[in-house]
Amino acid sequence: MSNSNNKVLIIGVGNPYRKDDGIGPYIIKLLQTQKEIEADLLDGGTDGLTLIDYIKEYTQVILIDAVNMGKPAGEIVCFSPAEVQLKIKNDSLSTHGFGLAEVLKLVKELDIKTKIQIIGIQPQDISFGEGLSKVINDKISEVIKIIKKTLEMRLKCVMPYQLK
Amino acid sequence: MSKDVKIDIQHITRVEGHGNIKIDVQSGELKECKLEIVEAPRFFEAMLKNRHYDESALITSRICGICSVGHVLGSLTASEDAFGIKISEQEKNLRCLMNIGEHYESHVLHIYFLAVPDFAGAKSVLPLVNTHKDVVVRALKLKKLGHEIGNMIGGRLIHPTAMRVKAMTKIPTPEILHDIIHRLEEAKTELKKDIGILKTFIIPNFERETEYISLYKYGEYAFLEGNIYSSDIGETSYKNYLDITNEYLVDHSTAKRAKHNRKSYMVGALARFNNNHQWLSEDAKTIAADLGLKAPCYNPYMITIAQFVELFHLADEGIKAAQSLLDNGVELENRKFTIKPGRGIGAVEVPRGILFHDYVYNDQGYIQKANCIIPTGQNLQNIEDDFRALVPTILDKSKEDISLMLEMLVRAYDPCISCSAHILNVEFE
Repeated sequence: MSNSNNKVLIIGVGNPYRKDDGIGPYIIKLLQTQKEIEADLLDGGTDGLTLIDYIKEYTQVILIDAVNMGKPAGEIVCFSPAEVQLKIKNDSLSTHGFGLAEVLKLVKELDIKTKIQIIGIQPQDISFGEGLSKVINDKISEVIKIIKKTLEMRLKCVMPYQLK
Repeated sequence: MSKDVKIDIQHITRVEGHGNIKIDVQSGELKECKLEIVEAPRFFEAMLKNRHYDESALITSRICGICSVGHVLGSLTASEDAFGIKISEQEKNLRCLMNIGEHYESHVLHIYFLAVPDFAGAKSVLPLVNTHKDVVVRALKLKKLGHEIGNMIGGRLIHPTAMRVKAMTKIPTPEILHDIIHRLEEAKTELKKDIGILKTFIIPNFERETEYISLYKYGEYAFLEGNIYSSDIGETSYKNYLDITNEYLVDHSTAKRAKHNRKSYMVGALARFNNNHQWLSEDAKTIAADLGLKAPCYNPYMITIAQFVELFHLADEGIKAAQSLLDNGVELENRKFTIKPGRGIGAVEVPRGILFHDYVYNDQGYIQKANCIIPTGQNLQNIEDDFRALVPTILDKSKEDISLMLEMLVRAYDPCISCSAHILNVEFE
């Protein structure tokens, strides 16, 4: 499959009405106000499969998502799908029907060449409600800094957030 | 047959949410049969309180990533019912197109990515990429058509923003409408390529007659307006939806259930088909006959086939709506109206069945009370009753086969238990 767009696409995934799960869309909203960001922006919502259409249109994609990594709340880790693919828990693959994990696998199976970098933030609370937890809110400027750095480095992992 | 079978499936796979199945058969007798819902109850009703009418549709669009347009349509209809607003023919046609986009997204996801692996004997769609790559790529293209209609008409790819009370804030150009007509015609051609594959599926031979409930408007395969129809008692005004749903709680599930004339009822594509099949488009009727779907159909595994048939009908309806917009011209409509305090009810068909939004507004247009009844909640007891009928007939099968048939049955209903959170779980070594 071909990817025609040389621009970077930044996708924020999640639901703003599930507290920290809304970090992705929250960041997208913030980035929309920052003119110096040279990338297309997408609030990806929660329908994982939809994202494939957009991922395949770009050569480079940054995904911002609340990721359950078993780390302390607020911890930020950058990784590529290949780095975690084998470590995705079996049951989590299935709990959202067709979630981001399956989408990333399908991207690979369909031989879509897009370079993907995930910026994962460990959430504290994903229960129903609006607004981010304080511990997550305090990390917003750091996430923005990482996004800018990631864009600058053409999607290379940003130290010290990289895996391992 | 004297047999003990204990089944405990934690988190049914390929279902939009979390659900467990518990079955206990002792000496051939069914002792326990439960569909447990472990997801937290929805808090959107509370979240809607004190919200302005212009906000309510946007908030409810986040209840579900798959049925976001359906919740917007339910929400707008409820607000308009409260304020006494009659929408124009133009607005009806634009909403019809939005509804078609949503059904394409949702039905294609269910048919090709969640249900087909069952019939093809695969654990998920992933192995099918190697064996049926053309089908997977076609399915992605069909699903994309759904979002693109949402974008072209609704103003945003995901969670549309242009749909507002009384009228849209954005209108499509004639070029867009021509494009939609062309692409819906193309979609029908593409879908026809998969009829052969669908015919090869072995659909379990299980029938249980139940009460079928759907929206109903004489002369239409109703999606966006009408009354409520029960296959047992006939038509009821949408205003009296609470007489239909009669929600109640069971101790093993946090999701509310519904019952009407019997212990349970079915909503969704098969209920719509059973109640309104005579008003399907001619092409959809031909496809239904070709795939062996005849009304009344009592086999819940056929829901997937009914969804496939609906895709043809919806394409035809979309072509008609877009043509009507082209013939009559489209212009931005006046969105002014007078806020009236009071109650309004929205009853619409969304991919998984009939959805009710019920709001009470104050004189400033702020919601004082909200009630949302989703299709999946209405189907839960019916699925459990299917289990009770099915399990005694398949006790001669292996535990694995029984488990698979039960999981397939749940998946056939396409339940959306709660897909309103999206979290990626990973483990680092």
